[in-house]
Amino acid sequence: MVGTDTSAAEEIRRYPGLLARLSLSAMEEAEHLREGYVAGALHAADQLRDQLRDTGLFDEIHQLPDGAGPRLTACFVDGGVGQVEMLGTHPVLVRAALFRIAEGERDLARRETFAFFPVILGDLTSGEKRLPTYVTTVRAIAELGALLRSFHDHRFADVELLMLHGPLLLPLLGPIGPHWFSRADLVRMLNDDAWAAEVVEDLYSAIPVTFHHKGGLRAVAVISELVKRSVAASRNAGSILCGVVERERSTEVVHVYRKRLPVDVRTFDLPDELFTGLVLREGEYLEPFRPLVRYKPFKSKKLSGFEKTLPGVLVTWLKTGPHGLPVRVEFPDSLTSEEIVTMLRKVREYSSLLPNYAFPLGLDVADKMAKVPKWMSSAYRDAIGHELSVLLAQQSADPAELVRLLCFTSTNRSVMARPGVA
Amino acid sequence: MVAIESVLAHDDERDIIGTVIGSANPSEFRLAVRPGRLAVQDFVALESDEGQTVWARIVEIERINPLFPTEAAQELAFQGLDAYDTVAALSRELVTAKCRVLGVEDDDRLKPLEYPVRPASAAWRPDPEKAAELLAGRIPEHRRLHLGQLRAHPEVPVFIDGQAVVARHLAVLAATGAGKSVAVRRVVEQLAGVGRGYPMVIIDPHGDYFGLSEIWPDRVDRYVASLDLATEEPESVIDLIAGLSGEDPTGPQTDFLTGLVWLARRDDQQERLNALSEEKGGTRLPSVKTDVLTWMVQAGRKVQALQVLSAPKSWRGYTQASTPTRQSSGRLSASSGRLQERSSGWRT
Repeated sequence: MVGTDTSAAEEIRRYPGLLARLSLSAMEEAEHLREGYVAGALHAADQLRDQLRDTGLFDEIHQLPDGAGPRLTACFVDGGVGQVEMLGTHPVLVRAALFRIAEGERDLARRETFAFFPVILGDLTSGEKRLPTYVTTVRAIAELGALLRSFHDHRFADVELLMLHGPLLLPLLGPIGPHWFSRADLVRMLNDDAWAAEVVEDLYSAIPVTFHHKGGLRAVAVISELVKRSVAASRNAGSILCGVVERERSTEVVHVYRKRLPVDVRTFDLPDELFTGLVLREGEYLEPFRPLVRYKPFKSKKLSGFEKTLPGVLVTWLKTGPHGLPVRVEFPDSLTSEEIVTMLRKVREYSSLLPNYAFPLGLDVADKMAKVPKWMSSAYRDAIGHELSVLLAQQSADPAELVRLLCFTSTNRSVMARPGVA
Repeated sequence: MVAIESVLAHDDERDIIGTVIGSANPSEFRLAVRPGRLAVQDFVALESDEGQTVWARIVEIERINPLFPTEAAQELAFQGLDAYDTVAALSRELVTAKCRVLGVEDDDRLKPLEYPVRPASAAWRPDPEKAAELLAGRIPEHRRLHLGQLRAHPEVPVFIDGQAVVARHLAVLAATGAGKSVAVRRVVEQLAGVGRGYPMVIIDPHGDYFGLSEIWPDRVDRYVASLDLATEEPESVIDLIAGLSGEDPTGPQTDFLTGLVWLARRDDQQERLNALSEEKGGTRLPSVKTDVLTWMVQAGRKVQALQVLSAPKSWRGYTQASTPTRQSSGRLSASSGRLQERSSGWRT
């Protein structure tokens, strides 16, 4: 529970970034609604915390203890996508990265461990490459595969806190339903070794046949299983697992508290990060709640019941510093309240090193490590270009076939395939 | 398969310490190197496209941690934290070295490189003996003056050609504190050392070579002179030096000393330098030419010390200069009689 020492408007005046974000939000409204949006939102914000106190929502805002938490060995997980510029932009490579670090350790060899798990998209033959969500789905599976692998790798055996750059449950709520992957592709996405093959066999046994498709497995079930296994492994290892998301565009919080919010706040349809940015002060976080599962296929008779088998995950929003907007934090519902506080303190502590970005430094490191370097993307571009040139030189493919080949290897529509005007 | 094994075996023998990155040109290139393995002034070797060995020297090393944001550094300072106590990644530094090409090895000599080294070439640490051999070049052993060792490789001696030093001219130019006096002192020691004993006159207004008399107490005659060259006739100065060494100066030496005295006698030289100095706000004049003139005038107007190295009997010379025949006794024979002998110490 927190007090109402300063008004929301004062906060906005102190941190212009919030006002800028509010203005951007206004630009997303219809033109006739834009006028007065910012002024109205400011007015609402000015009274929001007082009004919220009346709704009882303040009872669900908590303040973290000051100071740093205990020194831990933490592991950060993230993924990156490598793209090549060739008749448009084409993703060619997904790379998941693990960054383990023992706080306070001065021997660099023992202090830090890095691991990478690349997936060449051209190697994958299943899934729905035509859909823009294809790469996101592959990336989510590769990241979760790297996360799960960390529990089976002796180099990461001492990890006490695992932080994923991204949500634990949210991938299941996105439009990934159409995607499915063959056994071979799943093994490739989990780094193509004996361990990966064993995990995929287990997945085939554990996932109901309802989620088997053309001999493969539906991505939604694979992701759910990988999260559940990671949660179980973290519990066995006594470590804390969480996912941290920035730039989240959901409207979940307002929806959860909808009935208790003042009418004018509901009217503005504020995204969660703006709403929590107006409500929370530095170091405050919302009482964790269960995320909304809004994946339509779960409502169908065929998939009914699967919803209940999803991993138990809770969500909160934490304002890590004075400047940035709050971050969304997801974690297993099996964490104790002490573990939750420890985890959130570490998220805040790590974020304090990047006060303007207001996001954990360790995840920024993992993000940079996962990023596919330009030289690697360029090498792929050159290799593809060379292959195409050879085909053309051998006259084994005409230009139209080459364009089709490019379209096939890419996941997005190519501008070259656009119908021309005669 | 045999060829691959052969290449691998070849690489195993080499201590690979870097890879060429970025753009290379015939005079410079940059290496990505293993942290902590190289230092500035170290030598590296690479293979040219023709299979020859390219030699280069490291002139600059840069290290950057691409995973450590500036914002985090500022925050660490603000919070008074040590980076080791945080989750900042410290082990993934990128270390690069700028290398200046010395040449390509050809018949045990270094020739200018005419085509850049290949990007992604491996660089290795060359064999110290080979480095010493190349540094000595083709200088015959009896003409080698041992200057010292490479700072980064104490096992590699550095030589210069004594004949080139004595028969022609040598200027030692470097920044203040770089070791010019030490280097020249080393040349002097080598030239006057056992088995060589070349006679020298050192005009030493700053006392940089004062300790030579401690090294060779029986071979160095030290004088503290009070000699105003501005009023002295050139012939008197030459006679003075001839008297010290017992030898007649050679033609070039006579010309040099005459020029020196002539410069000192010109009253307008000092006035011109003073005017220049005032133009610069009274500060030390920066140009080399002016510095040299300043030195010449200062040295010439008030010579405070003359050090004379006597020649041993077993002298082995480098030039056509005549061999000295007698050892200087420290006796003064200056015609003016204004040169005063001191047996020890330094008088200002």
